[in-house]
Amino acid sequence: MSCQEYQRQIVLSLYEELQEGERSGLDTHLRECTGCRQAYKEHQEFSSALAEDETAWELPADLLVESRRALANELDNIERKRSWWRMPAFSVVFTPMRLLESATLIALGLAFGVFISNQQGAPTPTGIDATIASVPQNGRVSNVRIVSTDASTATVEFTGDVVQPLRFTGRLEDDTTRQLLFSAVQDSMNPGSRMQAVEVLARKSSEPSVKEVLIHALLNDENLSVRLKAFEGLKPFAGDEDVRTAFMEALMKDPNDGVRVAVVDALAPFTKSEAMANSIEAVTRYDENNYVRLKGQGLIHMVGAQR
Amino acid sequence: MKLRICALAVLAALLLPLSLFAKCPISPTGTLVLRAPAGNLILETTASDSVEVEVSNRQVSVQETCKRDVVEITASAPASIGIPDWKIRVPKTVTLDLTTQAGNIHIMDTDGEALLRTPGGKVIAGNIKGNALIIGTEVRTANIGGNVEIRGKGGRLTVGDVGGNAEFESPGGDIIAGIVRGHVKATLGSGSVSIRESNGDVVITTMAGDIKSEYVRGSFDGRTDSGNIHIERVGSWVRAITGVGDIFLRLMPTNYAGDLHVTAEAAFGDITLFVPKAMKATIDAVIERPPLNGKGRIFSDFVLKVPANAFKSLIPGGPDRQGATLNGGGNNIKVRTSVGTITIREAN
Repeated sequence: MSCQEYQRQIVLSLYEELQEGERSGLDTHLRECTGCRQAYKEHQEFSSALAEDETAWELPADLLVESRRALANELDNIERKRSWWRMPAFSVVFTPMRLLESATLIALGLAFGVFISNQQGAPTPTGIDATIASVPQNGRVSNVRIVSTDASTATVEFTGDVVQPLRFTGRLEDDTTRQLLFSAVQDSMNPGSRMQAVEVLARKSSEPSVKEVLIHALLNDENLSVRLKAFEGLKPFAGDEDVRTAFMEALMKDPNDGVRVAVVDALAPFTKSEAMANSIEAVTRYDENNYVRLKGQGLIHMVGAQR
Repeated sequence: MKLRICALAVLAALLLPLSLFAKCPISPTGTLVLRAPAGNLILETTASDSVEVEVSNRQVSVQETCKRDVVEITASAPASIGIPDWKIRVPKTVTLDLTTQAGNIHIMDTDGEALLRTPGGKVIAGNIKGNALIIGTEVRTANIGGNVEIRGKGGRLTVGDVGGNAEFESPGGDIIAGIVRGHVKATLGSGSVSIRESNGDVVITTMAGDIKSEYVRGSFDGRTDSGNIHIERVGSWVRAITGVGDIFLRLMPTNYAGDLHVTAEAAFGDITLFVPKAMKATIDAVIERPPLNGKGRIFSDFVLKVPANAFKSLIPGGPDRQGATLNGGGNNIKVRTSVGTITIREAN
């Protein structure tokens, strides 16, 4: 092996990814080669530095997506470089691994076919997972796991998730529409969808169930725009007890100046009593935003002047 | 009669402690620099040749430095008085440099430039003829004649038409703009962006929210992690990327010899693209995870072919890749979605 190849193994070695034989080969080479030993030392130092201060690294949020994309592109490039004769159907050399792959694929295909044909006409189990006879049109299957195989009957049992595209039109008052919108508000992976759902629901914020969802979004959603849209929906009801309580909580804990400024402004017209003014002042007393703090103090003067 | 005079005197005596008044002459091309520790700044433009400032609370101590070209007004106030109102009257052509540490800023139409800053509070402005820099939690302005830079703190940013370039920055909240004569740059933590038209290039980045425009005459570089991208017409090259959402692009090149490459990528979402039939293009459309038994998820008015090297297309559930060469090829049009459909339509 060349030094270049040994240096490639060094990284794997540091992450304990080398097999025993490779590891001992590398160790022997490192004892003999000064250049590779130096490279090993540098890699080791780098690795230690990373391990020591990993909290200081701020990784971009889209690093994983970008890495996957780069990986996919790289795989595409490799695929393009692969000559047509190296495809299994045309390959002159049938390596053991290739034969094994092919046999496995054929066996799986046969087993799946037998399984499907056996399942047709079978009663649907009453459990959580529904058994299907075929993959629905335009359905995508993910998380496929082989639960069991039976060599004697050549059957395989799979579990997985089938996802199908959905298009639905319904009135805001309808239960299904509501359920879908409520579901979208809770879609933790998709803030854009949450924003849209909250914006739509805000048109019906007078209704208790919608109001409750908006309050939850205002107080708990990690996305600022979702919280702002939930606030907009609740603002006309700042005089209601439940909304006022939620606004007080937002005033206390929301990390964004814009939300707290908007909330304290929304509460001001409904601050009629000294007790309410005092509680707002208490919540805003140490706010780092001058406006929020001074507005809170101003409410006490305002109520005092009204009396 | 005497009774009326007495009543007026008493009223005046009562009102006097409530407000404070300062007045300075200023040149029509002068600058008003106002630094308020706290206060809602309510600015009115007049035909006079002086700056007049009235503060609603007499505990505010105002210091003015009156020069013909620059009038500087500063103040100090005890923190306990809340947020007083500052009523300001200035000639319409004066440059405004207004800062309040706490409070809203309202200004009428002005022919000068405007620097309006409040870390906590809204900014509401009429037409501004010159350039503008605005910082506030929520910003709403009419038309701006020059360049505009708006930095939000968390809230909606709305601006009318812009005569120059427009730049927006915000941690969250929607951005809405009218017709922008120059370039547009918007960087958001989250929120939707809607630019009616832009004569120049557009660069928009948001972590979550839709990106919309009726017409981008220049290039468009837009990215949202979660939201739709809809550009009704675009005149130059495009890069549109979304994590979850649909993409709609209608290419309407202003210069067919220019760079017209297109990259449209959606992790989860449908992509619709209108391509002029006269455009030189090399189309590469990929659905990385097509449905197992749903063929034909790439729709096109152009004849698409499976490339010879698309090895993975042979595997069920593997990528569905199709391409075409228009007018001898040229501008690369790369359209890619993991889960969704791709529609490529012919446009005139």
